[in-house]
Amino acid sequence: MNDAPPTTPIRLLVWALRPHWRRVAAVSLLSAAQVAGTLLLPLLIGRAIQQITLGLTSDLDVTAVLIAALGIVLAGFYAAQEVLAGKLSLRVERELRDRLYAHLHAIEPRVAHQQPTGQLVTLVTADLIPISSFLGLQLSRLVWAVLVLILAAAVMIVIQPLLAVLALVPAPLAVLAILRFRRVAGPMVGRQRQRMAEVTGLIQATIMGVAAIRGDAREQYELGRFRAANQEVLGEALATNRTVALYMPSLVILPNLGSAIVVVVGGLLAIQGGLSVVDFSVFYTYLVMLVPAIQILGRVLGQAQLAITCAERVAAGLAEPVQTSVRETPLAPGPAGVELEGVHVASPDGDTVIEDVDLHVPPGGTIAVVGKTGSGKTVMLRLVNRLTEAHEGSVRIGGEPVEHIDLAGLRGAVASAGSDEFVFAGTIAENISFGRPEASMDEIELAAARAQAHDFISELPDGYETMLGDRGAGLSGGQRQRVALARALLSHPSVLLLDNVTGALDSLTEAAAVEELHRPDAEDLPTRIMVGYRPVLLSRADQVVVLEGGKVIARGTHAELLETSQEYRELVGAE
Amino acid sequence: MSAEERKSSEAGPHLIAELLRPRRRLIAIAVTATVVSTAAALVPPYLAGLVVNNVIVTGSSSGLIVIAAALVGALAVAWVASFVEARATGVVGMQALSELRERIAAKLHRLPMSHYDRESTGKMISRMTNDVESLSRLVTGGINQLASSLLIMIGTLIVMVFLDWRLAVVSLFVFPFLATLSIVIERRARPGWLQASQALGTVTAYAQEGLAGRDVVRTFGQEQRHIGGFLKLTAESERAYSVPLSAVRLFGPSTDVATALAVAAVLIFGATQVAGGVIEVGTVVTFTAYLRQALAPLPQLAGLFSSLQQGVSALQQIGELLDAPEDPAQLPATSPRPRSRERSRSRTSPSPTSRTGGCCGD
Repeated sequence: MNDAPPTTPIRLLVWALRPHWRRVAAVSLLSAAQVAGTLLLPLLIGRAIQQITLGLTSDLDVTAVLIAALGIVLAGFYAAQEVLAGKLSLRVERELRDRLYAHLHAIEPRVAHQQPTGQLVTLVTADLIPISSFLGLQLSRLVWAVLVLILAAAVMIVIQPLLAVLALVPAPLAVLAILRFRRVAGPMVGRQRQRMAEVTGLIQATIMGVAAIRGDAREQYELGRFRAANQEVLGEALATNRTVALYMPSLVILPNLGSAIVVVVGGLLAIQGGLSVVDFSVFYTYLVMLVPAIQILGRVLGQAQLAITCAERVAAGLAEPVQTSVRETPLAPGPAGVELEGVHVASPDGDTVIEDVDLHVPPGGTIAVVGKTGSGKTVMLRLVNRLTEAHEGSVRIGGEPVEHIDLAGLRGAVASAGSDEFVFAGTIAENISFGRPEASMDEIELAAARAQAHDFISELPDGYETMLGDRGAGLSGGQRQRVALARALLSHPSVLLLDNVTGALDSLTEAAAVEELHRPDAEDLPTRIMVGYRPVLLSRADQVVVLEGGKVIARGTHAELLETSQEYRELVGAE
Repeated sequence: MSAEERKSSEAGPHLIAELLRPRRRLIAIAVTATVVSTAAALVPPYLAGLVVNNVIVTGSSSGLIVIAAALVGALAVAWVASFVEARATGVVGMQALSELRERIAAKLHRLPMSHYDRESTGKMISRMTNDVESLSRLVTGGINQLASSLLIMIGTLIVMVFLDWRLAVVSLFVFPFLATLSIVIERRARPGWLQASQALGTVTAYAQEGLAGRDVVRTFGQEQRHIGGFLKLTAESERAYSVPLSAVRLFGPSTDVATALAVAAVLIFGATQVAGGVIEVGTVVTFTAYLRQALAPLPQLAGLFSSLQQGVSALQQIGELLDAPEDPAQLPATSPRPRSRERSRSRTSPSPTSRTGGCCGD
C-alpha cells in the first residue's frame, strides 16, 4: 500500500486488497472448489434417489460413501478458506488503520485543526471494523453466493431450461431491489455514522474536560447536549432500520417466488412426461441451493452499505492533503534568525487572524510578544514551526523560507512549550525526553533543573520515574508547564517558542526560569520568541511586540513601551 | 474463575436484562413474527414433497392449484412476518443501544475524579466506540438472523420428525456432535474475544492520546517514533483477534462434514424403508431437502456466533464501567432530563476533588 489511496470506497477496498492478491486468489480458488463440490452433492443425491427407486442397494452404498467423502473434502476447503479470509480481513484492517493514523499525523495543519479528536478516534478504530467484517466474512459469502448462483443456474439450465428460466426470474428483480435499497439507504447510513462520530466527540470532550465541567457544575447541561445528540443518532438509526425492514424481506421472499413457480410448472411438466421424478428432485435440490444464494447475495449487498459508508469516510480521511516542503533544504546547526514579512493568516471562516505582520529576530536574540486574548500571539508563534501556514507573506528561519526547509529538520530545530502544553501518559523522564529519546538521565535532570522542575520532581516518591496519567494527570498546571519547558530545552533547539509558559508559576520561580533562559554563560542560546505579561520576562527581551487584532500596534524595549504605549501599560498592568 | 472475572461475566447478562425488560412487548412481537416467518419458510419443501407424491407419481394435476395457492399464501405471510420481525428487532436493538450510550454518558458524570486519574481516556472512549460498535453489529445484522436461523433449524427438525420419525432418528446423530463442538469452540474463543477487545481498547487509548497531542508530536518531530508505537499495538491487536476468530471459523466447515454424513445415512436407511414399502421415494426426497435446510444455517450461525461472543465481551466491559463506584457528591443515579439545553446549576455541586489536584500541588 505504498501508492496513493483511491478516493472512492470500492476502489479503496480493491486497493487495500491488492497487496494480498495471492491470498485473495487462494480464498477465491478455495471458494470455487467448495462451490463446485457443493454442486456435486445434489447430483449424487439424485443418483442415490434413482438407485433407491431401482432398488440398487449395493450401488447406493457406494454413492452414500461418496457423499460422505465429498463432505469431508469440502470441509477442508471451507476451513482453509475461512481461516485465510479471516486473517486477510484482520491484516487489511490493521494496514488501513496504520496508514490512516500515519496520514493523520502528516496532514496540513489547517485541515488538522478542524478535525475534532473524538471523530478521528472513531475513524481509526470503529469505522474500520465494518470494513474488516465485510472483507472477512461477508465478501467470502458474496463470492460463494455468486458462484453458486452461476453454477447452479448452469446445471439447472442443462436439466430443464424452461424451469431454470422460471426459477431465475426473481433474480433480476432482487438485484433491482438491492440497487434501489443502496440508493435509499446509503445516505442514511452515512448520516448515522457522522452523528455517531459526533456523539463520540462529545464523550471525548466530557472525559477530557471533566474537571472543568465539574468546576462549573455543567454536568446537567453536558448530559442534555449528549442526550440531544444521542436522540439524533437514534432517529437516524430507526429511519435506516425502517428502510432495511421494507427491503430485506423482499430479498428473502423473491427467490422463493421462483421456487413456487418451479413446483407448479415442474409438476405439470412431470405429468406431461417432460420431467422425471429424479430430474424433478435433482432440480429441486439445486433450487434449494439457489434460493439461499440469492438471499445471501441480497443480505450481503445490503449489509455492505455500512462497510461502503465507512470506506467512504476512510477514503475521505486518506485524501486530506499532506503537509510537505517545497525543497528539502537542511538548517544549519546553532541559533537561527527568524523573519516574518508581510504575513497574513486567516481562519477557516475567512476572518483575519494575523495581518501584515513583520518581525525580525536575530540569531540568539529574544523577542517578547504581548497582546489581549485572541490578538494572534499563539498563531504567530505557530507560523515559525509550520503548525500554522501563512496565507500571504513569508516566514524565514536562517534566511530560508520555512516551506523550503525539510519538515523533520524544521521540527528538530524549533522547540516550543505553552501554558497548556500536552503532557503524555508515561513517566516524567519519558515526557521530558520526548523530543530526544536518546538523552541520558543527566541531560534530563539538567533540563529539568533549568526549567525549575528538578526540585519538585525529586520530591516525588518515584522521582523522574513517576507515572503520569492522561494529559499529565498527577501534576498541577505549573508543574506541567515546567515539564513542558524542560522538554523544549532538552531538545537543544535553534529557535525556542514559549507561549506564556511561565504564566502559572509564582514570581520567584518564574524569575529563576527566565534567568536560565538568558544565562550569559550558556553556549549557543537559541533564538527566543516568548509570549508573556510579567516585567521579569518582558524586561529581558531585546524587543517587545504588541499585537492587537492580529496587527502589530507597537514595538520597542520594555522601558520604551512603558513610556510610549498606553495599550502596553494596560496589558502589563502598569496603569 | 477469579472473583473479578466472575463479576465481569455477570455484568453482561444483568445489563442485557435491564435494557430489554422495558421493551418486552416489542420483543414478544418480534419473537412471534420470527416464529411465523420461520414457519412460513418451512412450507415450500413440504409442498414440493406433496407435488412429487400426489401429482407427479399419481399423474393427477387436480391438487396442483391448491398447492400453488398455498405456496403463494405462505410467501405472503412470510413477507409480512419478516417485515414485522426486522422492524421490531431493529427498534428494540436501536433503543437499547441508545439507552446504553446514555447510561455510559451519565455514568461519566458520576465517576469519582480518581477514576479519571487511574483510567486512560482512550479506554473509556473505547467503551463508546468499539464496544458499542460490536453490539450495534450484533443488533443490526446478527441477533434476528441468529434467532431466525435457530428457529428454522428447530422448526425443520420438528417437521422432519413428523414427516418420518425413523429417518429423523437416523439423521439426528449429528446434532449432539455439533452441539459438543460448539461448546468446545465457545470455551476456547471466549477469553480470546475479551483479550482482543482489550487490545483494541489499548489501540484506541494510544490513538486518542496521540491525536489529542498531535501538535506536540509534530513540534518535536517525533511522528515516526510515535507511529512506530502505534504499529506495534495494532500488530498485537491483530494477533489477539486472530486466535478466537480462527477457532470460531472452524465451526462452519464441521457442519459440512455433519451434513454429508447425515445425508448419506438417510439415503442408506431410506432405501431400506422404501424397499420395505414403509415410505415413498418422495418422502426421502423431501426429507433430504429438509435435512439440508436444517443444517444450512449452521455455517452462517458460526459467523453470527462470533459476533455474539464479541457482543457479550463488549457488554462485559461496558458493564464493568457502569458498575464502577460513584462519587456520591455527583449527579443522582437517575437524573431527570433537562427540559431545555440551558445550563443547570441547581442540582449539582462542584466536585471536592480535582483532576489536576493529584499527588503534588505547587
